[in-house]
Amino acid sequence: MSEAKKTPGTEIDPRVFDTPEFQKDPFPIYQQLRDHHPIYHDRFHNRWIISRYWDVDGAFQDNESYDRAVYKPDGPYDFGSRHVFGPNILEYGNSGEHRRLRNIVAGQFVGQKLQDFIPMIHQIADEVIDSFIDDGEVEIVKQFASQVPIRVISNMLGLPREDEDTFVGWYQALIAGLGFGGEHLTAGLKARNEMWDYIDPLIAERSKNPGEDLLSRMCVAEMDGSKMTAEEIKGFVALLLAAGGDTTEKAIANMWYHLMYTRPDQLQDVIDNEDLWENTFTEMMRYDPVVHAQFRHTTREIQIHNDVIPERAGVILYLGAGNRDERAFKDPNTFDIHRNDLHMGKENRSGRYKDGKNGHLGFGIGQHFCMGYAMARQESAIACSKLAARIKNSRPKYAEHEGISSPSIDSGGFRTPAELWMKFDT
Amino acid sequence: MASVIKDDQVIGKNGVIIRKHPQRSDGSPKYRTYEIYQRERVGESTEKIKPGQLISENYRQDPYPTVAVLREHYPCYRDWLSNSYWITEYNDVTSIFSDEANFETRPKTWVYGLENPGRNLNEELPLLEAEEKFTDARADEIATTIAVSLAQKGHGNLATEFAARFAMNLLITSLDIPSADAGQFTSLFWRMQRGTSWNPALREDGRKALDELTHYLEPLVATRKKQPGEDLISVMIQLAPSDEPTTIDDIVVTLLERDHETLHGTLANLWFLLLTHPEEHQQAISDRRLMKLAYLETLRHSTPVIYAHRYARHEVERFGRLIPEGAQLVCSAAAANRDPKIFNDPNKFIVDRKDMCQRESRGQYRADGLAAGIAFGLGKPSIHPAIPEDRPRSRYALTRDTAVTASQVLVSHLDNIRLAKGTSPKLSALTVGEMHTCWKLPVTFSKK
Repeated sequence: MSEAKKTPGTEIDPRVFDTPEFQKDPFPIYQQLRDHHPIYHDRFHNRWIISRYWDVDGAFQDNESYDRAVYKPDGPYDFGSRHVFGPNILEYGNSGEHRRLRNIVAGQFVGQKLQDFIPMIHQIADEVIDSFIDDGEVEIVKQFASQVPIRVISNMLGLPREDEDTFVGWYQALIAGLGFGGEHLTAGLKARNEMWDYIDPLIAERSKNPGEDLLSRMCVAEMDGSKMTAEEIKGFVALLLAAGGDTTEKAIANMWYHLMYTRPDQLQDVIDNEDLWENTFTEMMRYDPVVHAQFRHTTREIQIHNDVIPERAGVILYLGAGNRDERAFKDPNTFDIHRNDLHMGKENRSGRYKDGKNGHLGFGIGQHFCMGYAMARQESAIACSKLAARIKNSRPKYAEHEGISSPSIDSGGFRTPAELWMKFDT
Repeated sequence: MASVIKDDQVIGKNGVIIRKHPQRSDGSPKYRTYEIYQRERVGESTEKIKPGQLISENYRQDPYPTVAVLREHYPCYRDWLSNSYWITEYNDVTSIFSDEANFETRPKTWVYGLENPGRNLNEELPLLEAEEKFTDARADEIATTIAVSLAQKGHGNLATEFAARFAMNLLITSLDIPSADAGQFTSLFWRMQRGTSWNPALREDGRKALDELTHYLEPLVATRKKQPGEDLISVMIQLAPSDEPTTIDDIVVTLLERDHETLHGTLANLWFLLLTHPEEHQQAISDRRLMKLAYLETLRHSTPVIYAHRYARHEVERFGRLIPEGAQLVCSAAAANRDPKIFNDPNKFIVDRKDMCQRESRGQYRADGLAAGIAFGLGKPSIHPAIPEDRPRSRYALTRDTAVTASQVLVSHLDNIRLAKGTSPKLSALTVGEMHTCWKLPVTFSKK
């Protein structure tokens, strides 16, 4: 998994994007795309692909030419959502509606508001670790990674702790519903409807008697006299559970996977120095992030690399490919938490840093930059350092691992190992 | 059940609200797209189909079971994997094809991304007239040459030695390509046409073939400019539409944009179906009228061009969905031609089918109240309810008559045509999306 094993050629058969081989190891194809087809017209899937670092960066920054929404903001119809989550900001392109909703909620995940939640994250991480610490081994995906973020989010929202397992089931179904498969869509919609039924009375109650939790804050938050509707709050809760829970879960699992199997020589460095967990997080987000692709639609004809992408074309921005671009990073196929050509500190939406280094593309850039970036980074680092502090001689239970994989074309979800067993001493 | 309006809301066929606030302040209709999408998708889960099925090996071999699921359950299916909308009901497919205001077909030159391509002369009346004149005069003779040479062997492959060869010989003769160059021209033409596929390797090869064909035609065109003949290249040279002289690029584009699949593919499929349906076979060879009906039924039952792409010119609401501008619609002839709402026993091959029109389908207009098999690639359906006497027959009619003539000639030279023993031919595409036809049809026969 650490190095591209195949010798890339020039020609790409677009059917490769649907194969289990690509889902597992897309990097040789990414290299072919970057080197030979910086603009690849995939007629089989009716889309264009952009894969070089600066091209992906440019597309993220260029709101005039690339829109996330399927529909034109100035079309004859009002903006809306085709989304399994319900109406949420993911579907509101580059519109004023997107800015309105984002402005209401974005502030809740950074700065002092985030710091208010930190003690709670510590407490939850400890509780989760307590549940397996005496066993001498842990299956990181199910026993650790998937347990922390959902508890953090439900706690932030002020939802009853006894229902946390239900939330885990819901968000996994919601995320799978974003994929291509009809069965998963049905399950996702069912989970969403159940969640909405669950949350409806809570919204009504907290609008009247708001507390300090995030749900209450959303119910009462105002920006320029505008409040979120109940539908918008529900859509946002679905987004938060899925995007904030599932992605962070996968991120934690992927960090441990890379330290155990890709760079076992750096595992001890991190165990010895807890400050390096943030580096591990950053390098993981570059080397093999949880999300590899973002979809955009062109709003006008785009001339790039002696090619033309027509107006209203579907474009995939392969940020997973951009992150491995030799034009942006030295030895891009090497996982290295001490890398000195990657901005290791907090990300920002401009993608430009004072240290002059390039950042990873894992959170996107620009108008749709991940709102929960600081939360995900801190939550992952805290949970992992807590675990590392309580174990010794951590090692893979099995010498071989089948590796990380994206889900198949008939399902949905994020990149992660299926399971990850670790043995340790206490 | 059609949608109904109640309490200022439009209730869709699933009983869900698809539209609220029917009026904006300026009086224009107001839609909430998420309401259309969300509620429609809740009612219309797509669990009966997996996206992978539409690009699978099974689909390449036999698309009919898969598109039947779409037609029965998701007639306007949003295919996220292939970023397109599948239209599968007969009336929907024809409505998309007759709606030039909202949808467009993109030419093959667009697929190749050609800058300043030549002009497509295929709709020019003098060319159609010349093609009709040539085909009526020479199709019989070209088919006879093939049938005679087959008759001497006693066995053969009807897919390649008859269907493919007849279609190509007809083209080569109509262009008066020297017989020594026939192999080279065939290869260039075939590579150029296959290059319009989604497959980048084929497209690259097709690009080269386009260049090579241009070089090949240069001296030929120069000669015919000086000494025009009766061939179609000479006709094209003399056309000079809009008083601009015809260029080599115009001729190459005209050859590129012409249908190359229907005559070849339908002939092969017709004989495949006849040989696997002995009773229908006996009926079809009994007279020319029934052979014509067999051809039309083949075009419906097993059309070689199983889908065509259309693109939305702008955001438009259709079939309960909001289709965004630029969206690609996969109009499935395979699904539409076997729509049980239109044809009885649609999966059955019935030569003298009573519920099918014998003329070209023209959008929503049906010549005798009946539908016809949708055949893509033969140009726009004629806008004339009946063809005026001073106009040549449409390509649909011309291709039909030519195929029937060729089959009649075959029948008149070969007796007792049967599938070779131990063979079980089938229809398939070389790759997903390409012509769906019979590539191997080994037969035995006796000379008449």
